[in-house]
Amino acid sequence: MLVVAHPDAPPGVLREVRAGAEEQGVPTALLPDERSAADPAARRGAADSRLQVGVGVGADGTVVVRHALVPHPVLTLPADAGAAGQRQAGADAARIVAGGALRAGEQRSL
Amino acid sequence: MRPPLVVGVDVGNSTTEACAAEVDDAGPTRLASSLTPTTGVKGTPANAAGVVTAVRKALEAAARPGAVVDTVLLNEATPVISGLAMETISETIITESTMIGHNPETPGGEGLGVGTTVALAELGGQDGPVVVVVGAGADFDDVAHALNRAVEAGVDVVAAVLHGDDAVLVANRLTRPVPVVDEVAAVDRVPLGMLAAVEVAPPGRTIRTLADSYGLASTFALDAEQTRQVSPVARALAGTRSAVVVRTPEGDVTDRRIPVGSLTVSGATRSIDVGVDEGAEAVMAAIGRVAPLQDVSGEPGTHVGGMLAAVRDTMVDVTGQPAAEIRIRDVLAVDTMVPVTVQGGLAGEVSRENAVALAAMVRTSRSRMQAVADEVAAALGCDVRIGGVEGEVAVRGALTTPGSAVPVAVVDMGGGSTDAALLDRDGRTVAVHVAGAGELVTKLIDSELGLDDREAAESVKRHPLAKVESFFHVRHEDSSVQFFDEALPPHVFGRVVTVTPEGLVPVPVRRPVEAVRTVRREAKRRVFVVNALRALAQVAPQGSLRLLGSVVLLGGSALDFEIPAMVADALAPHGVVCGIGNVHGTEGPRNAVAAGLVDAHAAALVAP
Repeated sequence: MLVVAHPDAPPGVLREVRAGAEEQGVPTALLPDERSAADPAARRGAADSRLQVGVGVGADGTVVVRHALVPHPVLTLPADAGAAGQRQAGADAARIVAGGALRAGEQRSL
Repeated sequence: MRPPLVVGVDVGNSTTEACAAEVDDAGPTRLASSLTPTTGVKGTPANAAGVVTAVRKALEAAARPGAVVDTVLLNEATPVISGLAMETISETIITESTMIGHNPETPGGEGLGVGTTVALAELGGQDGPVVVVVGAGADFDDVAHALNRAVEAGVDVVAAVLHGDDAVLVANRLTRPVPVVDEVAAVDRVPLGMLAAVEVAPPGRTIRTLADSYGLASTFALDAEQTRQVSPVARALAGTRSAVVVRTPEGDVTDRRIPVGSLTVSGATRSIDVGVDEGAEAVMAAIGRVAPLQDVSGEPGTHVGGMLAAVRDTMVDVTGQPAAEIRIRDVLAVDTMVPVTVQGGLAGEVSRENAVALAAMVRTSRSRMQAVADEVAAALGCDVRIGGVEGEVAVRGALTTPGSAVPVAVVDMGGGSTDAALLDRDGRTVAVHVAGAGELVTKLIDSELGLDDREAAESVKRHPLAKVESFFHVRHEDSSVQFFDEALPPHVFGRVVTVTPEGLVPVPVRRPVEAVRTVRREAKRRVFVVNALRALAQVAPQGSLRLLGSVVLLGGSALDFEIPAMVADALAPHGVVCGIGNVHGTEGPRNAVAAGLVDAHAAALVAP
C-alpha cells in the first residue's frame, strides 16, 4: 500500500498511519511528493499501488484514503484527528485491501 | 342504478385489509382491495380508525372515492394475545482473572509461551521464563525495545499480553519472536507473579493446547483432580485464535445453571410443574402430557412468573375480563443460544449461553368488535355487520385459490400467533391458534446474533443476505455475484448486509454470511415450521397430516422469501400439496378473510 506524503507532513501522523496498516498485516511504502495536497497525493498512491489503495498525507497532517476505482475519497481525516484516528485510518486503508469492514464512521462497536 | 357497495374488512394483528365489491343477486363483483396498518391491539375499539382508513383506501383504489357504502362487514376477531420472554439458563463466571480467551483481530507472533507474569516496568533480572504484561498507553516501539533489551540481558521472555491493539507491531519488532495477545481491556487485573500460558494460533487456526484439558494439564503439571477442575477453562477457550490462562490458587472458571423459575402446566385432568431451566424440550413434553392445555402459570417472583403475569395484564386491558378468568391456552418454548459477556472476563469475552424463549398465548371468547362496529358505523354512516369466525372465513377465501380443493387447510402465520383452519368434505370447519410466530422469530434472531437492535433483526428476518466484497460487487448468500456501476458507500464495505428494496443495509455483526443465514433459517424453522406442523396436526382429521389434502399459506409471512418453501418441504413427506394462497386468483396470500366476508354476504343474499 502506498503512503504518499508531503515532505513536511508531520512524522507522527505518518508513523501512526503506517502502524495502523502494519498491525493489519499490510506492508506500506512511503513516497514523498512535494507538489500535492493530501487528496491528490492519495489519488496518486491509489493509481500507482498494485493494491489500488492509496493514503495521502498533506503538509498539515490531513489524511485522505482513496481507492483507484472509486471517484471520491473513501476517508478524509482532518489534521487534528489525533493519533488514534490516524492509526485507525491506516488500519481502514489496510482493511480495504483485505476486504474487511471499516471502523471509521461505525455507528456502534461490534 | 348501481348495485349496493359492500366492503369486507379483516382486522389482523398487524394489518387491516379491506375488499370492496358490488353485490347483487348475480353475486359479488370485486372492485378493489387495500391494506393499512392495524390501529391498536386487535379486537379493541382502537381498531376503528384503521378500519375506516382501509375502507376509504379501497374505495379510492376502486376509483370511487367518497362513494356511499351500503354495508361494512367485519370479522369476528378472535383476540389472541401473545407475550414473549427469554431467559438465559446458563452462565460462565471467571474468578480471580484466570483466563483470557478472546479473538483480537490481529494477535502477534504464534506458538505457546509459559512463564511467570511480570509487569513491563518490573522487567529485568528474572530467572526462568516470563510473560510480560503491558498496561494502557504504552507505545509499541518502547515495548518492543524494552523486551529486546531484557532478552539481551538474559531474561527469558516467552510471551506478552498487551492492553492496546499493538500485537503485530510489537511482534514485528522483536529480535526473538514470541506470541503476543492484545486488546485485553482489563490488563491491569492480570495477576502478577503467577504462572501463565499464552497461546496464539497461526492465521486461520484455533488454539490447540490451552483449549484442551490435557493440554492444560501438561502445561501446568496438573493431577487428575485438578485437570477435572480446569476442564471448563478448556471448553471456554475452544474456537479462539489466542488465549491466556493464569494459574492462581483460587482461580476458577465455572459453568452454572441459573434457576429461572418453573411453569405449572394444567390440562383437563392434571397439572405438571416443569423447570424452565430444563430446556424447551422438557417444557413442550410437559404440555404434550397434559393436553389439551387449559392454563399455564409461572412461579411467582421469578422471571417466568413475571412474563406470564404481563401477558395476563395485557389481556385484562383488552377484554375487560378479570385476570382470574384469563387462561393461557398455548405456549411454545424454543431452546436458543445467546452471547453473554463473561463475568470476570478481562477482555470483554463473550460466551454462548443456553437460553429458553417462550411465547404464550391467551384467548378469550369475549371480543369488543361490537364497539369497533359502532364507531365505524358512526364514521361512515353505513350499516356495519360482524360476521364469520375468522378461521372459517379465511378457509373459504383460501379455497378460491386456483388448484385448491376440499379438504383444504389454511395456515396463517402472523406476528403473534400461527393460526390453522380446516374445511372438510362435509363443510365443517375447525380452527386453532398456537403461540409463536413472526415476533418470536425476530426475537430469536436479535438475541442469537447479539444485535440488541429489533429493527436490524427484523431486516435480517425479512431480507436475503449478502457480503459486500468490494466497492463494486456483492456476493449474495446463494454465492451469486452482483456488480454495481457506482461505488458502494464505505459504511457497507466488507460487511454482511441485508438486500432490501431500499438498498443494502449493514448488519451489525462480525460473523460470516453463512452463520447469520443459519441463525435466520433456524429461527424460522423452529417457530414457523414447528408451529405450522403443530397447528395443522390439531385440525387434521384424526390428527394425521396425511389426511389434509391441500394446505394454503396465508398472511404476511406467506409473502416471505423462504418460509413457504420451508413449510412446503416439511409437509412434502406427508403427501400434502402446500403452496402460497392466491385468493380469487389475483390477490395473492392477502385478503382471504376480507374477500371471504364479501363472498359469504353475497351467498346469504342469494340463498337466505
